[in-house]
Amino acid sequence: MGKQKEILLEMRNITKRFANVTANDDVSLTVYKGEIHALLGENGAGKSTLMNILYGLMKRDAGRVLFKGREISLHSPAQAIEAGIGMIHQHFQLVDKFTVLENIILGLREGRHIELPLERAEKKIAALCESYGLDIKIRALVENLPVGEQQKVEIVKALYRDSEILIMDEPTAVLTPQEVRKLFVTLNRLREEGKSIIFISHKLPEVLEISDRISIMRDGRMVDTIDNTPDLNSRQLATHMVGREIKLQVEKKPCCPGEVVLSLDHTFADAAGESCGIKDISFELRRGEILGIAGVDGNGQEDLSEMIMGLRKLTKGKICILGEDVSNSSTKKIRGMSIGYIPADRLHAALVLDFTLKLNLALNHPDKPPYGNRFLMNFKNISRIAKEKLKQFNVAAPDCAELARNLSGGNQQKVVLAREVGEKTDLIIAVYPTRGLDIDATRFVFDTLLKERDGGAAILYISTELEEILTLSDRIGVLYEGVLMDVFPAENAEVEKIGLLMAGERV
Amino acid sequence: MRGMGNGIGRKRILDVAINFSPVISAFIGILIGACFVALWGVSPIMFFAELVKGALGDRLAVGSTLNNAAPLLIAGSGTAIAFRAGANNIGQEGQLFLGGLGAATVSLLIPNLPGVIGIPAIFLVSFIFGMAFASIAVLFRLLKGVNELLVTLLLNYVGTLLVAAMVNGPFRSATNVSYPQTDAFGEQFLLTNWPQFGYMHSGIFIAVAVVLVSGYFLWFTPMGLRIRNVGLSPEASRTTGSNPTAIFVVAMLISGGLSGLAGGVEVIGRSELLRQGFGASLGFDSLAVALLGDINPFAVLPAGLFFGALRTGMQTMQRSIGIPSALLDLVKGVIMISIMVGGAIKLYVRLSGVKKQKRQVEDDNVETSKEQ
Repeated sequence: MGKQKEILLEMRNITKRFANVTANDDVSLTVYKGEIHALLGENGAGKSTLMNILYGLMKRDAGRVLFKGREISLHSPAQAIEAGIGMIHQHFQLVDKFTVLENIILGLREGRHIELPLERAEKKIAALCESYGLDIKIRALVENLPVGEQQKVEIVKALYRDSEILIMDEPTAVLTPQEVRKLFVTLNRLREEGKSIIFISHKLPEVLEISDRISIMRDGRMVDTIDNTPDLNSRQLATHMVGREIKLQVEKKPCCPGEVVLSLDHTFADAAGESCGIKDISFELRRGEILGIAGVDGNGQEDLSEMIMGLRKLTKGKICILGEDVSNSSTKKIRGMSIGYIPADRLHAALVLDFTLKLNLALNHPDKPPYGNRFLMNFKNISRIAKEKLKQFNVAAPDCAELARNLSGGNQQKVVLAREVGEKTDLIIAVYPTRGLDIDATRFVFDTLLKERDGGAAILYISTELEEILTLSDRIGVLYEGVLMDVFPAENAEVEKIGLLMAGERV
Repeated sequence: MRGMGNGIGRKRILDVAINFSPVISAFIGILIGACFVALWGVSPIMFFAELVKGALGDRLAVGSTLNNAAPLLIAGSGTAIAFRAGANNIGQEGQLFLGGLGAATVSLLIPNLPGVIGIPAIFLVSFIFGMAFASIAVLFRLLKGVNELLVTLLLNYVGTLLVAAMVNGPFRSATNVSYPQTDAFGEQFLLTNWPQFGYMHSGIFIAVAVVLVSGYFLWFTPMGLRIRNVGLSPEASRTTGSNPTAIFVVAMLISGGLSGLAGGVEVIGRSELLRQGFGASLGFDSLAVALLGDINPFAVLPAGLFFGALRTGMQTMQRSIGIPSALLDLVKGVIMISIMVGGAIKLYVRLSGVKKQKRQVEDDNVETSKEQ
């Protein structure tokens, strides 16, 4: 790295305003040729906005972008690709039913042939893969490839388009720890070959491991760009990121499990759509404990929660809640048993965005006291309870007649929490409850759930964030393709072991 | 700060525009209609003056406006309930005709029934007939997944033709041969009307009652909440313990039933017998009424009165000053299309809001930073 560094990309004084927020305020970013440059920042810090501007998805209000010393102005991703800027989104932009080869050449115009120049492309791809040490099955269907391989296809796709800079948006979010290792090998190789990479992540250890320099954004501003020296540590980065020293652990009392609240006995559910179904899951969950379910996204997390809530058909096995058999009971009946359910997709499955907050808060039992009776809702009580809950859960909203739509993501999640755990609950099923939340809101969710646990609720905590699982759980289970790989006490948890289980390897 | 205030101001204007969009689009429709009228060589001012005079000019006109409004209000309320539940019932025309058939069935098959039982029986049977007709679409949807929009639309033809077949066949009057219609119903089956109020019949009171009950049902009862919940977010309604399918069925049946009731009221209130094409386009107009009323029964009330007046005004103009009926239909059509386009734009604005929010959340997810 001692050689003269050549500047590849410069974003100077970029400013982008939305209705009443400034997403990027005078942000500057310099990326050298052949470096891995991490972009770090808290929720809403403006990383995505900056990258969307670079990739031509958004128009900047002010500032300049210089690429290879020339000022460029991009209005679409097509122009960005043309210029040599590639982006690998968190959700891959691949056609499942196409082969790798077809995906790579999709959208390219090469020559004036009527027939696709498949063979020529195949040779070129093979050569590319060789030179970067990537091995992919060119003729395989994308849908048959594991996630890590699909990501490789995205990388080759960008390389095939002669990208000199690759924007990678949370590339490790969907990978198992083992796949992350392989990705890092690839990234190092790309760096050696002189490609530059902008690596967006919030996982500090990864950022420390892979990047040459780290740019940190906060509240739409570029806080600092620092060289990644060996004495830099996670704590320093985190402090930079949130602008203050943060507490890294939650207060947690020892766990004292009580009676069994939820028990699953050899349960099965069919796969539906993109989900993988549930295969022979059994476990017991007791009062006062949190069972954390880890796993890579899409391995049956939603199937499991929906099956328990009566939203998915149980094909075999038995589910009991507080001793009562609720196998294939209606959601309404299960809902009647003081259960809190925080579904994965809060925007669609938990809230009605065009309802006011008070109606959203009354949605579970509008026909039961104190919200009303079978024939009439009691709006006085509904408003009063809503006001209390909004206050109790610190929801930033002008009043309870505000539409849910007008709240920020974090506050919407608080409204869901207020509804689901705001009253006495015996069982809480929380699926990705901190998704999209910043550190403060995440801590609020943790505190709320821990308070419920100490108050005697049994909590099933399903998350893809290993850190969260380790922080919160009393016991940990790992889901892989609808199978519960193992359940063990949190004290015995080793990250390495969980990683292997998440990848489907029994240990 | 100034920018912020501006943003909120603009947002408020947009909110108001969205809330009053049906009225705004009806007004735009009238303006476009005026252009067509001018093209016909008729003075638009004269045209609309005549229209207002025809609709509200004297007692007879007002009575007729109210009589026209009654079925529109009843069917319009039902439509509002269906649409709030996300059930796309556009078969009001057919269901209304079936309701008329129901009224005829009661009064012709049991002619000796006393009025005290007869009239409620007619209401009940016409409600059931409309409901049964709507249930065909429900069955198609539940069993075969066919969109109810298509089935109810096509059933409109079946409904009107079924009535035509009946009044040309088994129900055809033996005494009157000039027009396909039934015998006059017994006196006891007819709704009271008051000549001193322009022959207004008591159907309007039933209609207002239906409107109020429907509005109350939708906005103040738990079932109404669940209905609106399904329409706005079927997923959220499932997770909060509702059964979207059951609610779809209920909403479709209520809506079909109310359209049927509208037909029954029309037949025993005004036509006093069942004739071919007795309430032509009342069902379609009620659809426009529901949209103009922002699919809110309380707002359906003024919308229904407006369309009642429109119908009456046009009927009068056609009779008295010989404006071609094609022009009248054109103007009405333009107004209706304008209302529907307004509704579509509103929906688009709302949906694009959802999309924006969804994108925002996805961005949030991407930017999740809660490590450690």
